[in-house]
Amino acid sequence: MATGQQLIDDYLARLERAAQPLAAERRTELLAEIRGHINDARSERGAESDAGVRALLDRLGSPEEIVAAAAEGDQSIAERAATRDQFSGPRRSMMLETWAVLLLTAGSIVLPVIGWLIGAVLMWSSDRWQTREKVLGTAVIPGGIGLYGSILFFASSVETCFAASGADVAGGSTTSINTCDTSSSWTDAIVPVLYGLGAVAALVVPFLLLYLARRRATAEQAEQIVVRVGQPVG
Amino acid sequence: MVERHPLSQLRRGVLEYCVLALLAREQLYGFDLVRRLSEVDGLVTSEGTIYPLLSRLRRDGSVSTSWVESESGPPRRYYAISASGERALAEFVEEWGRFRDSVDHLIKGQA
Repeated sequence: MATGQQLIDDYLARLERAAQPLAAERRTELLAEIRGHINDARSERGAESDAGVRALLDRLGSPEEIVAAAAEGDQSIAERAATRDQFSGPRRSMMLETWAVLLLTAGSIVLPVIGWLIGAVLMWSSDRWQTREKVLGTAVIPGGIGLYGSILFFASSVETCFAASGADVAGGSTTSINTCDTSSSWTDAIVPVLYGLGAVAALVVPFLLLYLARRRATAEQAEQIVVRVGQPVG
Repeated sequence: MVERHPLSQLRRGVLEYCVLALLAREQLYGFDLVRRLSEVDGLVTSEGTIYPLLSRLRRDGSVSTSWVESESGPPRRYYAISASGERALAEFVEEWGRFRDSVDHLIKGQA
């Protein structure tokens, strides 16, 4: 077992040395992908034995071969990556995601419509959320506030309507007044429940989205830290 | 670089369209994609060289990537074909048919 792990460590150290000429961003990505491949292969192919690990690494090919494939015709890309590193740094912060959630929640109250719109645009431009999470964020966060408003509006208009029809038959039918009473007690019961659900969703979803984005940002950073810590070896 | 195998140059050129063809059916994460390519006889010699290819396809916009949570371990980077990737694949499929027929025709003609 230990020898298998030792083989993997040696292989990764060799890959890292070979990858030195690549742009930092490319090297990070390549190492993370190969590392992930080895982990997946070990768990899915059950390559825990010494021989299994050896076969796994054989199938991967030599580190030099992999780096040669990465370096092929990549001069301009290496230059572009270097410039990008200069401006934004290799590690992306959570700024975009934090602002997206802030604007969708607090922003839509401070700056009605506009704040929410900017938040939605920011949310959809992030690659740290999946499409369905973006749909959820776009629909539920303002929905928690919007839902409340529309239910109140609906409830009050229903009530007014029945009250008005009751007034129309002024002095007459008790039936219409009864209908009015029934409807208002029905809405009285359902409105707080719906309001509560909307409020809970509006509170929970922003935190859920921030949690997911942070998990993915951490995964991105972990890839980079692993490479940095490993570097003195090379 | 010295090419030992007569088909290695050709294989390398075709591989990226095989990747696009697999992704045209469904999104896949790195290891899954590599495994499927390796199952096809004679296509991939060194599995590790597929990752630089994926990186290049991502940078030229033929594929897009997204993080997906996995039940075990850290989130995985999934690859999906983009609209321009689909166009490139369709173009290749058409050319490839013609190319294959021409080569077959020549080889059989020689024999």
